[in-house]
Amino acid sequence: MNVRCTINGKSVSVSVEPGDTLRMMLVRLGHFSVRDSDDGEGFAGSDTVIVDDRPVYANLMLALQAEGSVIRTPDSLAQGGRLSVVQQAMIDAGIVQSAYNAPATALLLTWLLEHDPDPSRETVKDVLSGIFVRDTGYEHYFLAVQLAREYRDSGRYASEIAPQFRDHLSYVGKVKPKVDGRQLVAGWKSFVEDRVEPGACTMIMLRSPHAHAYVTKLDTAEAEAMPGVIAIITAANCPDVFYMSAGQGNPEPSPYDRRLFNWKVRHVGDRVAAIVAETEEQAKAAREKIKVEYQVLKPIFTVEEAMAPGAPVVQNGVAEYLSGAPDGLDAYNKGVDPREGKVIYPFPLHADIRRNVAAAAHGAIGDVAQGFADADVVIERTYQSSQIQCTPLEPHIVYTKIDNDRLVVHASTQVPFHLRRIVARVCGIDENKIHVIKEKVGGGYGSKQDILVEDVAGYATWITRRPILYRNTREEEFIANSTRHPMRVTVKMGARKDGTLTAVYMDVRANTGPYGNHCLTVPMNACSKTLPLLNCPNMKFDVTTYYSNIPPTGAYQGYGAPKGSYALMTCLAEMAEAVGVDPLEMAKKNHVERGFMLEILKSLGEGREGTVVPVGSCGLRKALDEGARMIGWGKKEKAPGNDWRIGKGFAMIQQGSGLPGLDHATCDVVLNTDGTFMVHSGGSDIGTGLDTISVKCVSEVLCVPMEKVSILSGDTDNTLFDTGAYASSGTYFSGNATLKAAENLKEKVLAEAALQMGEKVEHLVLRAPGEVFSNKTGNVLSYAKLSHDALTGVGRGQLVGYGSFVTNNAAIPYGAHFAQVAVNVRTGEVKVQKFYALQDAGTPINPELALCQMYGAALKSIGHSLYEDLVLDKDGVCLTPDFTRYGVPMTSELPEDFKAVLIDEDDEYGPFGAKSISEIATNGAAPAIANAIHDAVGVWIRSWPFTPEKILRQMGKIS
Amino acid sequence: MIARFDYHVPASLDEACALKKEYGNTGIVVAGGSDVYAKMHLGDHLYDHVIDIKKIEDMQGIRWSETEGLSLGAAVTHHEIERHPVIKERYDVLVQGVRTIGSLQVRNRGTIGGNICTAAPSADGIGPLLVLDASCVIHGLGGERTVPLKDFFTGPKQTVLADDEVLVRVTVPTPAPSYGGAYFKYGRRNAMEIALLGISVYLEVADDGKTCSAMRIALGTSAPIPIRAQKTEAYYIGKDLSDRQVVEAASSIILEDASPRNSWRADGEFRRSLLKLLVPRTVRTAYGALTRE
Ligand SMILES: Cc1cc2nc3c(=O)[nH]c(=O)nc-3n(C[C@H](O)[C@H](O)[C@H](O)COP(=O)(O)OP(=O)(O)OC[C@H]3O[C@@H](n4cnc5c(N)ncnc54)[C@H](O)[C@@H]3O)c2cc1C
Ligand code: FES
Repeated sequence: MNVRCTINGKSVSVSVEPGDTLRMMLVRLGHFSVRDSDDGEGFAGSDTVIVDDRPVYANLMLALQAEGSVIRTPDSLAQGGRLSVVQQAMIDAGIVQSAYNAPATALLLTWLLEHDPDPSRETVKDVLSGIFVRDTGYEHYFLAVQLAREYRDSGRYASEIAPQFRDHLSYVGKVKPKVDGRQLVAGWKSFVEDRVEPGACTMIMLRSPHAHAYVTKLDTAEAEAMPGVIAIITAANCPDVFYMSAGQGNPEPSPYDRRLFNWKVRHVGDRVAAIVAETEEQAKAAREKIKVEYQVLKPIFTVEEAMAPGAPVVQNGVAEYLSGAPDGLDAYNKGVDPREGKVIYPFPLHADIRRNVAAAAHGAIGDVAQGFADADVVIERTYQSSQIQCTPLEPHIVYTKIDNDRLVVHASTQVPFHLRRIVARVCGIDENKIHVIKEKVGGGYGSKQDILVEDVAGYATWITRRPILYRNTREEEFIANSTRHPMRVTVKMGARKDGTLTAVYMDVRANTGPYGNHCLTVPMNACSKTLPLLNCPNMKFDVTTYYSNIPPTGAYQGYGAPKGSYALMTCLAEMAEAVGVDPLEMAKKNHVERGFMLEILKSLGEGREGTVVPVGSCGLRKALDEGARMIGWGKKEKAPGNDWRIGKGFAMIQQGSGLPGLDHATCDVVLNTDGTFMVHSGGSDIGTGLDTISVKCVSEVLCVPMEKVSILSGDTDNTLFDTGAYASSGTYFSGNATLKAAENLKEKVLAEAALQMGEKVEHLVLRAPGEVFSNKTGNVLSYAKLSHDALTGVGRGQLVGYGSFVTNNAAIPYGAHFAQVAVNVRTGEVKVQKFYALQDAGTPINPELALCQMYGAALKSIGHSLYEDLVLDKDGVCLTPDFTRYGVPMTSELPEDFKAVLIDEDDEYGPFGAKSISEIATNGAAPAIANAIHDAVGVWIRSWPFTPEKILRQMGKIS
Repeated sequence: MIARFDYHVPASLDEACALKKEYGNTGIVVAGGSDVYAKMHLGDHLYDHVIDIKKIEDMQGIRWSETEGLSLGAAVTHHEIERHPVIKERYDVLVQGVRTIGSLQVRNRGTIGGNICTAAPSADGIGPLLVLDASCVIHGLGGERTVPLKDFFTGPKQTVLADDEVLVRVTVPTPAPSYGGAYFKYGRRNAMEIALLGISVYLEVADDGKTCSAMRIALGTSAPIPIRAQKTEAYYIGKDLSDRQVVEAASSIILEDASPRNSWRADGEFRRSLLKLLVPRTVRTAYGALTRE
């Protein structure tokens, strides 16, 4: 059938199938900026288009229904390469980050301003109510609208976008357009799906309906004979290679406890078979024909169930050690059912799989027993966090193909180099046979630190030689991706009457689910990113992680810290109440300050001994004081009605900046023949602005405008090694590597200039806009001439700067988050009236992006605290496998007064004094809100999410 | 991906009814499609035939007169309702309801007819229409009939529509010159959220400005279908609505009208406590809306 309509001003007649959605038609016509984030649920708004002057979801309309319509897509906004005012304002406001639906948002805001040139905040909020973003927390969307209005009316911005830092620097600490902002906001080809070539095959997965079962029979014969089927991979024919999905440093601190497909399935949604076919339809038809029989085992879902004597064992295979094997291993492995597979440890994690223990760790400083004996008050409290999902707008997706007899992986990943290593292991090939290209990442938040789709797709392409696209459905994102580990954290605390802590003990019991990726490091992190906030001399922790049959867990922005922070900071407030000291006073008495030796870190290394370092730059006290001032700490507020009570709370927070002693970043910077620069950074910009940081570092050191510096990053063929974007390492590690490369190149430029100019290096300086100047003679040599002369056949060759960054120094970001909530004593509703995030990120290199990341992290952790929850039924089936049921924060969930504040501190180790920014911002909301709820209605809520039901129950209003 | 199907665009009601009858379970009537296409998206093959009624003339437009009241075409979108000046002025409770539906994009496509025919207990458009005493004009091959909306729902996601029938229009009588209306949606979040409880209230008072002379209350997500709370309504008749205690005393009756059970989203006791609390509160809001005029 044919549809005639007008698209972006052009009349077209398109042939479509009845079942084609408007989006399918538009994408086929090249409008790939009309995307989908939720399989047509109509939630995320990535598919927003304007039809007959009304915004609609292109996924929820048939192409045929567009007959005679006038359609506008995001592609209508930029004229040639020139962005519209709204698009530019979005970049400048800092909201174009992972940007998967930024083009849709630009279109919607453009439409809004056409109809309401000066919209109120409420109107903007309402118009954006159908746009979901995770990364930037919506707050600067209002600023973007404001900036667009100002520019439209006067040709310039009047509003301040963000505070700027370091007057002596030109780019660092300044609001400058993100280097990939144009491409992302305009919707030009950016993401993995945009790289797929015609003729690519589709892969889909057959998943387990059972939480815990042996696969007793697998018959794929009929499916394999179906039309279009290219390969079916199952436990019967996959490589007998055990590995782990976590993209972590090597030696890997997680057990190898899975193959591509296993004879035992360990969660609902566990992989049973991969089907590769010419088309998705054929793959689905074949999937129906695969016959699988299961022997169902009793599943376990909680730490308590996993700990129970005689509990079903989730990972009951042969234990092997690559190093440090314990005694008695043969006896331990006796009589193991071969269907259980293996658990291979690169080094011991103190696991005991027969008791479902995936990993354990212990450590202490001082004398905790004495500390408790010295206390006037001792309390012990247990806090439970729930399972929550990263929900990137772009689901896990990969496109693999063979090129030049090598495996090429177009990946949406945070860890291209770890990805290459793991795929090499799975396929049994060498790393030189694999080329990983990190495309733009439409949201990662930790979930793309795991190799969850590239392993199977890579292997399938390697054996079939066919190009293959694999993309998770949104449901698969919920049931078969990585999530935050549920944790039960018990804190025992002793204090003197004046509020001085005498001893702290944390007992962390984490639930890793079916596999052990991150099973040691996430729960360790619950301690290592919280206990070092306290100056208490006696501290101890025990960490134990258990296997279970919940959907998989893994890394999620904040890692273990949000759960540790919730427990420790809430307990600190509970202690303040117990000893009768104001919680703010209590915090001030017990927090660390610059120079304090962090002895506790010694026992908190990730599988090795950690390095003890002193606290460096530390804005903790400033954040506490400023936050207290802003929120009016101690001042009673007027409630909005009889049933409402107001309360205030806060939490101290910290994170790290990468993993000193473990992480490594490298970079090179090349002087092009015309005097411009090309940066090759191993770092993985996942939307956060790391590439912009790298470019700013080079611009700053080499005194050239940012337009003269281009960057390629996260490409295993064309950039140097980098451990990747996790553990808040980007700015500190990858940024420092680029800075070192730029400085190295600067030396080389000066040396070369000295030769070419016949002067001494001491007399030469670099100056803007890109030349070498002699203080002595006043002579000038442009980079263009310098480079040209170095490369004319008689020179000394291309100038390349190299930087490699490793360190034992820590650049710890600190902060405090404050919340004011209103709690309804009859319905239990909680309204977040004020939320202030104050953070010391050292020098914020991209201040506007930094603010947006703080908003994003704070809002998502408000969601985690109040309503987000992955709910399973008694058989382990997920009851919340879509956005609506799972419940993520939208514009309507914004705190009434939401502020992110950058506390100015200069760090001695970070590039230009910078520390990390965004992970830390997920650590504050839970304890700050829990404390505010207590302040309002006098009850402590000790489990996530803080639902109205729990509050009423704690208040004794319902039983 | 949406599965394959044949697409039909009937030009008339009779044609639509004939197609609906012909295809039975293998076909589906679609208006805005926000419910149907969202469901079909996962690629499951649900229907062989899609019958698109969105453009049928009789289902279009909003008509109003003081004597005839309001007549909404089944294919009228939530957005059209939201911005209609007479509806805003005289039927504000309906605007309050439809404004909470999904997002701008959903309200631009979704229709009031679709909202009613989906027959979800949580539908935000149904409650306000129930308390406005709306009726459904239904067309079948045998002709037209009118069914009061309160009798339209027969069971979970079930309606009185026969195999050959479609909803054509929704008619709403002109409300009293002075009445109070309110819609309250309770959810975990404020938007893009399925109501955990939806309460609609319409009330009139005697000349003294406080004695209740008419009361209609509808409850969403409190029973398998959208319902009227008739016992509670009866309680209020003749009562002094300016007396807070009198208004709140209805909480002892409300559970006779509806007694929601446990679900994974909230347990029964909590939902019942919400009902007891929020029904009187919504009555107070409606009363407040009346006296402000
Ligand atoms: C993201 C999203 C959010 C949503 N949020 C809400 C919400 O907050 N509140 C809410 O109430 N709803 C919500 N909905 C549901 C939906 O949008 C509404 O119910 C809408 O009014 C349905 O109208 P439609 O025209 O799109 O229905 P369609 O999808 O076209 O049809 C829905 C059903 O009604 C039948 N039908 C439609 N018209 C007729 C007719 N004239 N005669 C006979 N049968 C008919 C169809 O056969 C189908 O069974 C949401 C939907 C989405 C996708
Ligand atoms: S339907 Fe809008 S993003 Fe999926």
